[in-house]
Parts: sequence; structure tokens; C-alpha cells
Amino acid sequence: MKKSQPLRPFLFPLLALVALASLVRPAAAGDMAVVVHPGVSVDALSFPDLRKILLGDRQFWKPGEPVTLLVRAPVSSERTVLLAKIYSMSEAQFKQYWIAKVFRAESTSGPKIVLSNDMASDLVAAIQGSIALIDSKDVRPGVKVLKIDGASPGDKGYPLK
Amino acid sequence: MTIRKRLGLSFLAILGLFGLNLAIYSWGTARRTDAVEDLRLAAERQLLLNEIKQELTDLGKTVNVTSTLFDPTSQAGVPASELSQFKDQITAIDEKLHRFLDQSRGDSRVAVQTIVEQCGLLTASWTAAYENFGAHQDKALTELAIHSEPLAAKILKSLLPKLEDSEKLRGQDARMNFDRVAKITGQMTLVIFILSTIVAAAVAYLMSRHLTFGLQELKQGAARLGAGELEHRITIRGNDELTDLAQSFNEMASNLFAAHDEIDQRNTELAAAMEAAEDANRSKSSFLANMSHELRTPLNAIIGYSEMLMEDAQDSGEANVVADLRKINGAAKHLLTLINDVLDLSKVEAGKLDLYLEPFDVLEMMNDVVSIAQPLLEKNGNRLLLDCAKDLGEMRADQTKVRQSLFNLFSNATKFTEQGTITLSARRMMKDGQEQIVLAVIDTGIGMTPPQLSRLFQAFSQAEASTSRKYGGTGLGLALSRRLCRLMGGDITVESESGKGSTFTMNVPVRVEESRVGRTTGVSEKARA
Repeated sequence: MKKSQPLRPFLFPLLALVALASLVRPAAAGDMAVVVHPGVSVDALSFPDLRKILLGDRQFWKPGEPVTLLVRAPVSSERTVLLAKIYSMSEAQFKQYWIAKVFRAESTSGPKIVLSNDMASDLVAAIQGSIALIDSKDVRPGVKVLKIDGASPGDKGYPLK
Repeated sequence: MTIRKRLGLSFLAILGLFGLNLAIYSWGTARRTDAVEDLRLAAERQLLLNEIKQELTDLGKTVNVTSTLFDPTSQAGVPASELSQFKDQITAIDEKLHRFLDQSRGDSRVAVQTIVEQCGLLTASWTAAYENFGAHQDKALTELAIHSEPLAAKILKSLLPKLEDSEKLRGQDARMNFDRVAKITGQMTLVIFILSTIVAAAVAYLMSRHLTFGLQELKQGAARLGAGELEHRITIRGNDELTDLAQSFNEMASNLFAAHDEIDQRNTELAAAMEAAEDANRSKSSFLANMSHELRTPLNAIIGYSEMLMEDAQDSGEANVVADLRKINGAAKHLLTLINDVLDLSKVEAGKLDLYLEPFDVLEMMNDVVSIAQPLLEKNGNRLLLDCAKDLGEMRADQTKVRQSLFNLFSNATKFTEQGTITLSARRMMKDGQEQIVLAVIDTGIGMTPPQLSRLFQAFSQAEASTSRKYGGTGLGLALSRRLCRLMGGDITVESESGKGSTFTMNVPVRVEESRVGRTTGVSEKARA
């Protein structure tokens, strides 16, 4: 009992912060924006096309313009949405999927792992043909946000919520 | 061309063909070796290129998988051991690339050089990405996306496939070249072998034909020459040893032809000379026979009347006249003996001496001879030994002539032996395929030298001229005795040593052939003597 007494003065403020954070989070998460290099000749995709691209089944935007997939590292909301909505796989299945795809030479390159949305935005801006899935709140200038099934992030019916 | 030159040229031709075969074989072997080496090199390059491509692909996959699976949030970077292994793989690829480059020539080398350079950039990019994974993840990804992947795609999907196609073509070319070389060298070897066989067979045929033709001509020519066609000439065209041999044959034939002519001429001359000699001999013998007959008639008168006068002188006691008459009688008898011998000899030579064959006892005949010659034995103080076989028996011959011949031999032995021994032996034995009586007179007298022996049986010849003076005699006895024996089918032979004595052996057939009666001996008998 004596040992727990020093924490008691901080317990309330900590609980208050957690409660505040839980109130703020839905607004911060937002929709997942599909961002591509500004040079990519595509402005909108259907969800199936997006799925093909993110699954590595379609590897070129157009002839001579390869797709470079940028994927957030594990334990990120973008990766969670990607695995749930696009791949419909667990983390292990995702890894197994890409190992098989690379070693079967069905794809010349696997997805590149980025640490943050900022890094993702920077690399998308820097690498031609690159595509990434990032929180719409973190979208920065220098990248192009694609419409999916005709809807932009925040629009009603946008598939990547 | 001489046979030696022909054989030499044939040998050189065959040697040349052998050398040509050897050269073609060596050339074919070298070509095939080169072709096999090209094929091996092409295959090795294809394998090496496949290895390079596979290892580049594997390395690219490793990088891709690493970039996909690497969790930068939990790792600061790629572990050092993994990085080291990665670099080792890059080094291995680099070594193979440079080995491949070293084997490349010409246009291929330029392409390989480009690939080597591009691979160098790619591996450097991969290394940079590998080293930056985690700590500088953005740099690593940028390197991968911007440099590595385009380079990898360029190399693996463009440069290497082109090079592979080029190497495949090269391999196909090498294989086709090998097939072509194998075919060409095989054909060349076969053609040269067939050519060599044809040339060798032609050379052998020509040589054989030439030699066979020449030898056949020589054989036929020699056969005709041997058959007596000495005017035949062997004709062989050319200028070789066979021609020389044919020329020698022809010269020999010419010489033989000339010699044959000469011999014919000599034979004709000799036949004429012999006929003349026989005529002369017959004339001489006839003359001697007639003259002997004419001489004996007065001699018989001289002997008869001298004996009558001696008897009358003895009866009247005129002793001084008896001695003279005895000398006259002795001289006349000696002259008569000589004339008888000459007459017999001339009859033999003239073929007019007849044989009167009759059976008689050999031992009895010998006793007669010994008793007649007894005074001669006693005259020189000689001792007689008789050595007669018990089976002597009878023989059928001309007894008078056998006795005359034996007496002649015996009297000669007593004449040339003083104070010695004279042995008379007789045997019945087979000699020259017929049964003969062999009578031997062996003395221990003065004997004879070989030169004296050589002229012993010649008429009117004694061992030496001085012999005649010292011992008397005309030299007709032995010649006549031998001819009488030969007339009966026998002979007289002699063995003698000067100073030690002589052995005269007389043999006469036990049964003289009837055909020998009246046989003409004449000159032929003289020639035989």
C-alpha cells in the first residue's frame, strides 16, 4: 500500500489524457490516401485496379513506367488498412506472399518498407512511379492523390476508410 | 629408266603419299581439336553466363526480399555477417564476369565490357542499399528504386538476354563448325586414302607389268636359246637392267653360235683325221701282219736248219761250230718271238685276232706257267711263293692267251727281281658285277716310279730306255698282255713303288662272253689303252 501512494497524484491526469486521446483519434486517423509520384500518368483508379497494383499483379503504370510500392512498416494503421482492405492477409501471409512472388520471379521488386508517412511522402515525391498508402492528414505537397472509384479521401463512398 | 630408279621413284611416291596422309591426318586432327576447343569454350561461356545471370537474379531477389521483409523499426541495419556474405556473393559474380570478359574477343568483348560495367554499377547500388537498410532506410529505398531496379531490369532483361542469344549463336556456330570440320576432315582423309591406294596400286601394277613382261621375254628367249635356236635374239625395249640382261643373253647366244660353228668345223676335221689315222693304222697293221708272216717263214727255216746243223755238229764232235750254231738258233728264236708279238699286237689293233674259248683248270694252267718259267726263276736266284685259293676251279676263256699274259707278267717279275721273292696268287671273286679269276704277280724287284708307271702299257715302251739295254725286251709284252685281257673282258693293273717291288694284277671273267669272240677291237682298243 505504501508503494502505490506516490503514483496516486498522477493517476487522474493520466486517465484524463487517455480519455482525451480516445476522443481525438477518430478525427486524426482519417481516410487512407493513395499517393503517387506526380509524374504518374494516372489520376484515378478503380478499387480492383488499385488492388492489382498493390498486390504486385500490375507492375507498370504504362510501358516503361514501373510501379514502386512503398509500404509502411508493421504496426502502423496504414499497413493494417492495407492488409485488411487490399491483401486480406495477416502479416505472416503478407510476407509469405511477397517472398513467393519474388522467388517465382512474378515481380521484379517487392514493396519497400518505409518508417513513416513523412518518409513515404518524401520517397513518393522522389521516386518515379512510386505509390504509397498514407493517412490523408499526412499528405504533403509534391505528391499526387489518386481517386479511387471516383472518390477522394474524405468523400462519401471512399473505399479506404 | 633403270629398275633401280623405277623402284626408287616408286618408293618416293609411296613415301610422298604416306607423308600426305600423315599431313592430312595432322591437319584434320588440328582442325578438329580447334573446333572441339571452340565448342568447349562456347559451352563453357554459356554455362558461365547462365551462372552469372542466375547469381545476379538470386542476388536481386535477395535484395528485393530483404527490402520487403526488413523491419527497420526493430533493426538498426543489416547484420554485419549478412552484409559480408552479400559482398562475397558480389565478389564472386564480379570474378566470373571478368573471367567471361577475358574469354571474349571482338564485338562480343565490347558487349561483355558494357555488361561488366553495368553490373559494377548495379552491385555498387545494391551494396549501398544493403548498407543503408534500417539506419538510412530512405536512402536505401531511393537507391533501390532509382538505381538498382532499373539497372537490374536493364541487365537481366536486355543486356544479358542479348548476350545469351549471341553466345547461343556462337555455340551453334561452333557446333556447326565442328560438324563441318569433322565432315571435311573425314572426307579429305577418305579421299587421300583412296587416292593413295589407287596410286600405290598403279605403281605396283606398272612395276609388276614391266618386270613380268621383261622376265617373260627373258624366260622365253632363254628357253629358245637352250633349245638350240642360237640365232634367236631377245628383244626388250627400254634401257634398264632387263635390257642389259637381254643384251648379255644375246651376246652369249652370238658367242655360242660362233663356238658351235667352230666346234662343228673341228669335229669334221677330227673325224676326217681319225678316219685317216684309222686307215693308216689298218694299213700299218695289215702291213705288219703280212710282213710278220713273210718274216716267220724264213726264220722257221733258219731255226730248223740251225737245229739240224747243231745235231750234226754234236754228232760229228765239232764243238766249236755248235756254239756258233746255238747263237744263231737263239737269235732266230728271239727274233721269232718278237715277230710273233708284233704279229699278235697288230692283229689285235687290226681286229683280226680271234679268241678260242674253252674250259680249263686254272691251277693246272698256273702250274704250266710256273714250270715253263722255272729256269727264269733260277737264273736270278729268286724264290717262288704260290698263294692259290682252293675254289679256283675251271674258267672258260682263251687258255693260250691267258697263259701267254700270265707268263709275260711272271717272266717280267723274274727279269726285274734278283735274289728276291715272287709271289703268284690266284683268287676267284666278284668284280665289276661278274665272277672273275684274279691272278696277281708280286715281286720284290726294282719297282717303278709314277712317271714310269704312266707309260708302262704303251707298246715298245719300258720303264726307261736304259731298262731295255740292261734287262732286254722290246716293251711289247705288257701292252700285248693287257690288250689280250681286255679282249676277253678283263684287264691288267699295276701298283709299284720304286726299289720295293711291283704287283701286277690280272683279272679275267670266269666265263668270257661268247660275243667277244671275233670282236673287232682295233683303234678303239688302242684308245682305251
